[in-house]
Formats: sequence, C-alpha cells, structure tokens
Amino acid sequence: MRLGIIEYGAGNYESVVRAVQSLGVEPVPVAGAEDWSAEEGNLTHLIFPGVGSAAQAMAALETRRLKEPILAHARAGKPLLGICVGMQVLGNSSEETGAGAHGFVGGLGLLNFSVERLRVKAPVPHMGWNSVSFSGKQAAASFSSVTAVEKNPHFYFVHSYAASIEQTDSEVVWGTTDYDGVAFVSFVGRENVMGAQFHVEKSGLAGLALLSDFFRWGESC
Amino acid sequence: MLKKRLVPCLDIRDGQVTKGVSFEGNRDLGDPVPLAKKYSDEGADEIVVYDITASIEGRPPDAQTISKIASTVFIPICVGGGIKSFADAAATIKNGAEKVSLNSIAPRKPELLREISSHFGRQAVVLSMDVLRDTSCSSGYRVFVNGGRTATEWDMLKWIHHALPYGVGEVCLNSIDEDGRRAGYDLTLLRLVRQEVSVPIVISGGAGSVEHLAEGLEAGADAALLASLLHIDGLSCADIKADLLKKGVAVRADSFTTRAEL
Repeated sequence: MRLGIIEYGAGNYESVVRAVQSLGVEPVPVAGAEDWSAEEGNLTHLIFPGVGSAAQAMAALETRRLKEPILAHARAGKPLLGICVGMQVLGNSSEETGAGAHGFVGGLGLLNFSVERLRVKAPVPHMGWNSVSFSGKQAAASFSSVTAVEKNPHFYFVHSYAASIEQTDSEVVWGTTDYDGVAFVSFVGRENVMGAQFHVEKSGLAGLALLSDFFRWGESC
Repeated sequence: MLKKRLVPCLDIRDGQVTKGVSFEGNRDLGDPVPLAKKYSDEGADEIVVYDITASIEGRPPDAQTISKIASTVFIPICVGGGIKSFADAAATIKNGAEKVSLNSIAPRKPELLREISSHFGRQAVVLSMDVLRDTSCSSGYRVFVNGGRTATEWDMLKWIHHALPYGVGEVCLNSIDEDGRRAGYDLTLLRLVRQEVSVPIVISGGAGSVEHLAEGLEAGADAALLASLLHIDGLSCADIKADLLKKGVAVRADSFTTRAEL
C-alpha cells in the first residue's frame, strides 16, 4: 500500500499523519498537482482531510490544482477517504459558502448527497462523541474491525454542517447519527469512495480500527 | 445521542504529571505520555494538559510534551498554561492540540479569544475560570487568575457574558473552594452557569466519587475533568463509565481494546 494525504492547509492534516503513522504507515503528502504527477499513479490509497468551510476547501483545491488528481484517483477505482469537510465536498453541494455569502458551493460530485446547516435546537457545532449506526452490507463488511466490536460505535465529531437524510441518495448512506433528535448522514460511500463526517483521526481506537480497515480496502476491491 | 465526556487532566511540571490539593502541595505522578496512553486506552474521551509552570516562567506550553502525547493518543487534546498570544495558540494547535484553554490571560486580553476563534473556529477555544465564593459579587462568585492566587474585579456571570461573544466554544469551571476537597462539586455554581450559557460546560474541582460525577453530569455539565479519582484512587475511566451507565448517565463505553489487536 502507498498512502497519499491531500495537504491543502487543512487544520487536521498533521493529526491524520500522526494517526496513520501510529499504524505503521508513512504517508506521502500531496500538496499540489506536481506531487501527484511525481507519484505516477503509485498511490493506492488517498485520504482527503478537512476542517473549516466547504467553500474554503474547494477554493484551496482549485488553487493547488488538486481537484483533478482526487477525481482521477476515484475514477481509477482506488480507495479514497474524505474526512469531515473532506467528506462534505465529495458530494454535490454545500450550504457552507463562508463569510456572509448565501447560496451553495459546488462539491466534487463523486457521491450523490448535499450538505446543509444542522437544523437543531441544541448547540452548534455538534461537538463530542456520538454513535454511528452503520447501514448497508458493504459498509458493515468492509469495516469489520469496527462493526464486529460495536454495533453502533462512537466517533468524535466537530461540525456545524452535515449531509441531510433528505438530500442524500439512500444508496450512499453508510452510517447515520442522531443529534438532538435529528438524524443526519455521518458516513457515506459507494464502491471505492467513502467519507466520514467524524474525525477518524481523533476517534481513539475506533478511529484507528476504521483506518486499518480502510488500508485493507484495496486488497478486496 | 451526544455523550457526556470524561476528561483526565494532566497537570505538568518539569515534564512530570503532578496533582495538587486546592492549588497547593503538589506531588509527582510520572511521565505524561504513558499515562495519557493508559487513560485513552481505558476510555478517556479527551485529555487536558496543563503546563502549570509555563505562565510563571513566561513561556508557551511545552511543545515536546504536547507533540509526544499527540503522537501517542488519538483523542482530542486540550492544552493550557502560558498561552499569551495568537502565535502561542497556533503553535500549540500545530503541535497536536484540538483546543487551547485560556485562563489568566483572558480578562487581560479578551481579544485573544476572538483572534484564535476566528482562525481556528470557536470549538478550539476553551475559557477556563477559577472561581471562589464571594458574597460581595452579585452572582456569589468572583473570578481569580494566576492559579487561583489573584482576585480579579470580575463577577463570575458578568465575566462569562462579557467573554463569550469573543468566541468561546466551551467553558471550564473550576471551583477553588471545592478543588481537592473531594466533597462533591459546587452544584449551585454549575446550575447558575448552565442557565446562562449554551456552550458545553466542563466541570472541575470537588469530585471524590463516581456519585459526585453523576451529580455534576446530571446537573448540566457536558464533561467532567478527572484528576484525583484516577491519579490517586487508581480508578479507570472504564470502571467509572460502567458505574455511570448504571446510574443512567449516557457515556461512551465501546469495548475497543489495545491496538495490538487491530
């Protein structure tokens, strides 16, 4: 396995690096189109981290010419994992346009879902440990290190926006989470492309188990 | 649903974990890195690291300690002690902290809260307060700084209402009166703050039993800071959580074990 991690200034980049290193994996930083070309297609796995707004993330991908490499990796059928905002921009669009703007920011369109602000009475951001109900055979089987231990394992969340159930193609729902009585989609995926709303890199042993399952992903697909 | 958090607190002095009673009389408990790992493996939801001499020595929190802990445990880390500028906060976050905790600096320089929260998000800023009962204050409590040694002019509630709009993601409430006494939290104080703020509250100071933790978490705290129950009584987060679950407190108690089994 050769793991790339998209480096575009996301605040959790270093945490993701530390987490994968603890599993014995030395990742390759992919900070621009040049890094991507230099790999000549050797990367087998790609992680796309993210914190901040979807608009910032998309703008940074444009500036660093990283949009095409991510799409190419996904199209080649290789495992891709988006984390937090990195998950949100795998979808069609997000309401999170950033400072004062209204409307939507377009995503990468790899998976059929859209992101909106959490519509709850409880405090936003939704921050802390919450449980994920895995759904669908592919998710449960592919993340067996996690699902064999706990039916509804807990992960660490920090976010104000999320993929709503209504705006997500049920085919791509791999996990849901309840906050303040409202369910949202916390884990999405289709074939080789997947995204976690929670911070896999800060979710303790459950997060590390999920990462190690992700690393094994390419072996079977 | 969102779970209540247990947060072991590591007070660091000269690179060693120390635990004091009422802010005085500390004793050493060893290297913070293996201790943080043990707590995390046993189910801690977050780790707080206070570099208790950083402020006095006029330096930011020890970078090496934080980065070693962040390379060993993979749960959120909150760091406090000696953060006086945006650069200190940014370096601490770069070293692996999710959150920075500001205490003495906040009344002197509240705009620092805004600088940090506007760049890293509100959730990265914890406002930590040491408060002492004081009948001359309208809320009944006065805010202290410098490790509880120096009184400020701030009434506790007035300070909270002043500080929160600068961008605070969480309030950590330390009762100087109850700290280390192990007689239970000051629930009056907790309820007073709970009524006034919607951000998460971390309660600290006074827990001597799991019963006390349950009281605090049921009275509106989102998280409890743990020190003597772990460091001195030798309880584990797993034991405490099993007890809390029996008492009906919703906590994360997944049965993941050590990474060797992954």
